[in-house]
Amino acid sequence: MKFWFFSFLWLFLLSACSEEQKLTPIDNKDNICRYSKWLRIAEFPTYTQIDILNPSTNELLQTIKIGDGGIIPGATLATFSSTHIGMLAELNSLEKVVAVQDIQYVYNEILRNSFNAGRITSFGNEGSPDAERIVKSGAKVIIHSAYAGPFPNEKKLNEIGITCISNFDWSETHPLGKAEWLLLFGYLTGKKDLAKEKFKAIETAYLATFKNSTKGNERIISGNVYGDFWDTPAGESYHAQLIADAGGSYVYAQTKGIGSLSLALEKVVKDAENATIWLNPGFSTKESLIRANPKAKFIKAFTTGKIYCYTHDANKFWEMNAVQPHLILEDYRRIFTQQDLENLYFYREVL
Amino acid sequence: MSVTKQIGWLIIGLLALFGAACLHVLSGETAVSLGVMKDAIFQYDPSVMDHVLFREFRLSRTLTAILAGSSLALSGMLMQTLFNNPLAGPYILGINSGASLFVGLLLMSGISIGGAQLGIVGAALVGAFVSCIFMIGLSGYLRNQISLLLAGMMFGSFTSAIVSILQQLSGAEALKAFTMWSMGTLQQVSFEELYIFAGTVSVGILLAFSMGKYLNVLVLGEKPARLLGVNIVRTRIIILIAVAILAGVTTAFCGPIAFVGMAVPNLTRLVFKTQQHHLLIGMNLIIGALFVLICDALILNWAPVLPIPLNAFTSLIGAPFVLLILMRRVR
Repeated sequence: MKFWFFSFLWLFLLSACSEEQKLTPIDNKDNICRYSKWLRIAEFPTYTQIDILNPSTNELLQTIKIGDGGIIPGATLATFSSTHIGMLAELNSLEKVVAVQDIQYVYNEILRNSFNAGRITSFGNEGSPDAERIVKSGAKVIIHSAYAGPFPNEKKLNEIGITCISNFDWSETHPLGKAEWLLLFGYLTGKKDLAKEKFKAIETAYLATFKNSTKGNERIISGNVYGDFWDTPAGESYHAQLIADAGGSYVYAQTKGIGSLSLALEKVVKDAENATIWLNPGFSTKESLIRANPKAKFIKAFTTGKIYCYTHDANKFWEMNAVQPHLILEDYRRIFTQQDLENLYFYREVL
Repeated sequence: MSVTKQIGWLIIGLLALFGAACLHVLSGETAVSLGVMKDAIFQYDPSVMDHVLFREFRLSRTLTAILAGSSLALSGMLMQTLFNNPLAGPYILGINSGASLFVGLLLMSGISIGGAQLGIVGAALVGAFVSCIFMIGLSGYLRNQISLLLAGMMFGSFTSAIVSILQQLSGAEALKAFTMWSMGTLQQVSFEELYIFAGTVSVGILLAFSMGKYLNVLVLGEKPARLLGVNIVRTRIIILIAVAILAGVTTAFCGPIAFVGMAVPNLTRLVFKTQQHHLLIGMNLIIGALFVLICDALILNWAPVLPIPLNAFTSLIGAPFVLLILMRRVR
C-alpha cells in the first residue's frame, strides 16, 4: 500500500513539475517589444521567454527560453545574415560568432580578421551547409532568416543541443521594428541591458529625425527592372515607411502590401513622370545602370533628377541598415531636402 | 503542296500575324488611344510621354517579339535540318548557353567593347558561333539523335558551370547586370536598336532562303545530298553562319529565350507535312513570331495578377512539347 501511495505521489509531482516547465505564449502586457510585429520578449524572475511569430501565418512559430535550463546567455553563434552581424557588432559581441554564411559579404573588419586568423568558419555560398559542418564549427545557436522555412536538419541539430532561431527582421514593416531585433541578440549574448540602452538611443535618434523632417515636394521612385518587371517596395513596406518618415512622397505609397510590387516598366515610366529622385537602382554609376537597363533613360529622374544608391559600399549597408535606421532616415531627409549631401552615411549620388 | 496553296497559307499566316501584333500592341498596363498611336508613329514628339510610351515601349516590344520569334524559330529549323534531328534547337543544343557564356565573360570581366549594347551583341554572336562549330564537330561523332541532344545539354551545363564560377568571382554590380540580362525580356530593345536587330536578322533570313534548295536535299541525308552535287562543307558553313547570326543576335538583345527554336519548327512541320524549305522558312518566320507575340501578350495581360518572366513561360509550353517528341521517337 505504502509503495503505491508513494508511486502515485511521485508521478503527481513529476507531472506538476513538467506542467510548470511548459511555456505559454507571451501576453501583450508582458511583451517588452513595442515596434516589432514578429518578436515578443517577456522577462520572468529566473528566465527570459522569446516568442517568434511567423509573418506568413501571423501565428506563433517558436518559443525560446533563455536561462534557467534554456539557452545559456553568451552561447556561441552561427549567423546566416549580414544584419545579424551588424547587431552583434553594435553590442560588441562579435567574439561569440563562430560561423558566418559567406565571408565575401561581411563588412565588419573584426570578423574578417577573425576569419583570416582561422577563428571562424565561412560556409560559403551554400544555402544549407550540412549538419556535420555546423557541429564542427562549435556553434550552439544558429540564427537564420527562414526565407525558405525551417533551417535544414533543424530537428537533428536540436537533438544534439544546437538551437535554430528564425529571425524575421526582414519582414518588419517599421524601421524601429526591424531594429528592435537587437534585443534578441542582447538576451542571447547576455548583454540585455546594453541592448536596451542601444535600442533606446536608436529610437530617440530616429524619432528626432522624423520630427525634424518636413513633407517636401520631391516625388520618389525606388528599385529597378529585373527581366520584364520593375521591383519596388509596396506602400506598407519598411522602405515606404522610411521614405514617408523622411518627408518624401513615394510614388507607390498608396499601394497595399509589405513586400515588393512587380510592375511593368511602361507603367513605372508613366507613374514616375514627375519623380525627381530615384532611390536604390542597384548600381553606383549611370554607365553601369544604363548598361543593365537601357530604358532607364526614359525615366525622368535619370535625365533631369537625382539618383542615390548605397551600392558603392553594399556590404556596409546590408550589415548596418537594420540596426541604424536613424542614419538611413537622416540620409533620406538630406537627400529629399538636398542639404548636407557631402556627409551621407550610407548613400551616394549615382553619377 | 501546290504553289497556290502555299501562297494561301502565307496570306493566312500574315493576317494572323497582323492580328496578333495588334493584340500585342494593345496589351499593357497603361491605356493608349488610337490617336496617340497614330501621332506616335507619324508625328513622334519625344517630349510627349504618351508618344514615348507607345513608340519605345509598346511598338518596339511588339516588333522585338516578331523579330525574336522569327529568328529563333528559323534558327531552330535550320539546325534540325542540318543535324537531321527534330530535337535540335539553339537552346537545347547549347547555342544560347554559348552566347550567354560570352556575354557573361564580357559583363562580369568589366571589359567595355564599343557601346554597351554593341559589345553584348558582338559577344553573343561570337559565343553562338563558337557553340555552333563545337556542336557541328560533335555531330560528326554522335550520329544518334538522343546522344547529340544529351551532348548539347552537357555543353549547356558546362557553360553554366563556368558562368557560376564567374558569378562567384565577379563584383556585385557586374553580377547584377548579368542576372538582369539573363532573365530574358523583350522590353529592353530601343526603337533605334531595332534597326540593327532587324538588319542583322534580315542577313540571317537571306542566308537561309539562299540555302533553301540545298536544305531540301540535306533532309535526305549527307550521302544522298553529296551524290546530288551538294557541297556539304560549304552548305554547313553557311547554315552555321545563319544560325549563329539569328540565335546570337536574338540572345544578345533579348537574353536567353527557351524552347521557341525547338518547338516552333516541329509544330510547323507537323501542320504542313512538307520538306519544301522555302515554305518552311516562311512559315517558321510567321509561326515563330506568332508564338512569341501570343506568349508575351498573355504575360502582359496577366502581369498585374501573376508576373511571369518570358523565359519561364516559353519553357512551360516548350518543355512538355520536347517530352512529347521524345516519347514519340522512343516508341
